[in-house]
Amino acid sequence: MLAVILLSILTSGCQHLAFFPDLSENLAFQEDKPEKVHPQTETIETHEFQLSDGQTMVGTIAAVNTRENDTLSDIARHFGLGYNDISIANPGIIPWTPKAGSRVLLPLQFILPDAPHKGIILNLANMRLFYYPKQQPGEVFTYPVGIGRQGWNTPMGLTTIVAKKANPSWVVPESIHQEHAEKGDSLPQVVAAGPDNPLGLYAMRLGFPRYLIHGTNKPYGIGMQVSHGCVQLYPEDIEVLFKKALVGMPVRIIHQPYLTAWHQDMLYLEANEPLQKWTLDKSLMKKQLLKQLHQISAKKNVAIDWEKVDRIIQRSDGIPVPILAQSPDVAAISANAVQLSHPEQLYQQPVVAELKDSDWSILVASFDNEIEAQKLATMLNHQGPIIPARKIQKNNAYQVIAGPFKNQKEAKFVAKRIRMDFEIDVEPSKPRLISKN
Amino acid sequence: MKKVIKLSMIALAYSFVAACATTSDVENLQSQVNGLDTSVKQASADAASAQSTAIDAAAKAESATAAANRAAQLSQEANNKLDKKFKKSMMK
Repeated sequence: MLAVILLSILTSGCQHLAFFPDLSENLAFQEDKPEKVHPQTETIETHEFQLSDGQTMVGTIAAVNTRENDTLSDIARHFGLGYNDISIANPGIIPWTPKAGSRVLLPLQFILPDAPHKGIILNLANMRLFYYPKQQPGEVFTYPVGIGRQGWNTPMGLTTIVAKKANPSWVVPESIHQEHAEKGDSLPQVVAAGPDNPLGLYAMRLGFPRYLIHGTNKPYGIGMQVSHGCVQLYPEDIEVLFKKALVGMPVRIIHQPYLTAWHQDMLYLEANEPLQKWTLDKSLMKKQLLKQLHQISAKKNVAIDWEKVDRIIQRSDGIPVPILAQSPDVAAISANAVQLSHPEQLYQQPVVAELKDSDWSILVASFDNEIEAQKLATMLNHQGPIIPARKIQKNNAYQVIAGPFKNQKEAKFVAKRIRMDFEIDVEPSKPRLISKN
Repeated sequence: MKKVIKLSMIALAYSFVAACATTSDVENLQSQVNGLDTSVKQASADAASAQSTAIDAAAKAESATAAANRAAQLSQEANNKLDKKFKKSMMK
């Protein structure tokens, strides 16, 4: 009976007595107002690095805070990173709809692949190209790339650049004709240079038959496995590389997910997830890495933090981390990253024109959830060529409206693209049908 | 014999006196016990009611958590689907 009374007192007491302070407000404060970090610098080296003798790691880890309407793709492009680099290094940030003020880590430190420093070295594992210009010894340029998708893997090995072409036409391969036909689309035999040409403005033919290094009209696919085996660069990067690269220059394509480097008396390890094609070889590759590290440890008489090595491999986030005993971990590296001020304008960040009454538009979708609507609108804005879109609140729903379009023909063409790529059944509509609020 | 009668009388008188005092106390005590019993029954009923409310609340919370998890899972699936579509849209 006493127990019942006690239980009664205790259970009723929980509702009235403040045994525990209410932390919800504090948590909300922490979430909504990220820690203020003062920018240390305006700019940082992103593509071009000086190399001293024997140097095998270049660059610096940095960080920048997001602003309203930024996406990780915009930030990645501005700082010469691919979608893979930035999304893997920032697993806690939603790539398409990050909260304003989120601190984004920029993995701008690179371990050079274990290959001769000659011509172009392309590491498929981290989708990154390194270029060692013969005419500028002691320098390396690096660019993120898009590569062949699973089943259409970019070939590996040593080849050369056999031809260069500005404003190339695209002779559509039969395989791509078939793929488009299956989606109900028909491509011409040849796509002329212009905004609809997926080769972009520059192409370099490789010695591997039918494979190119080229630009793209879909720049936000850089850092993804999206091609039929060709290597794609951001338009601004291929322009620089195209002008520097020479016909006959060697191109070595490798797959090295685990990279090590000595830098300022410290041993670093960068781990990347092997591409799907090599998934079954992952344990073998890990074994080889550990063997290599044991040899280094014995030869240099240094102690390696093996648990840390395991964690780095497990994370496979492409960030070089020191692995000798007592060395800082990735959290410390992140905390000490060079804080950059946000650029006035992120490079080529999509700008959506205002939708006027005289414009054609497309009602793409309607969502209960604002974030999902924002995500779809943002993805449309990052298409190549851009599909201007915005989220509009209507009653309790959020509509994604694409437009403005000059005329019905243009609206119909875009509607077809949306149907094919996003599998959303849409039709052009006149703007008077759409209320802005 | 006289001594026995005398002692018996004293014992009887004492027992009367003592009995009077005990009855009053017992009645008082009985009243208190009755009151306490009522309180205990009430407390017991309150506790049972609170327990029932707590069980209901726990069931509702569990149901809400399950619904939230389902919604999060659906949202995650929708997100993944959209991510795949975006990647597809980046292909030639």
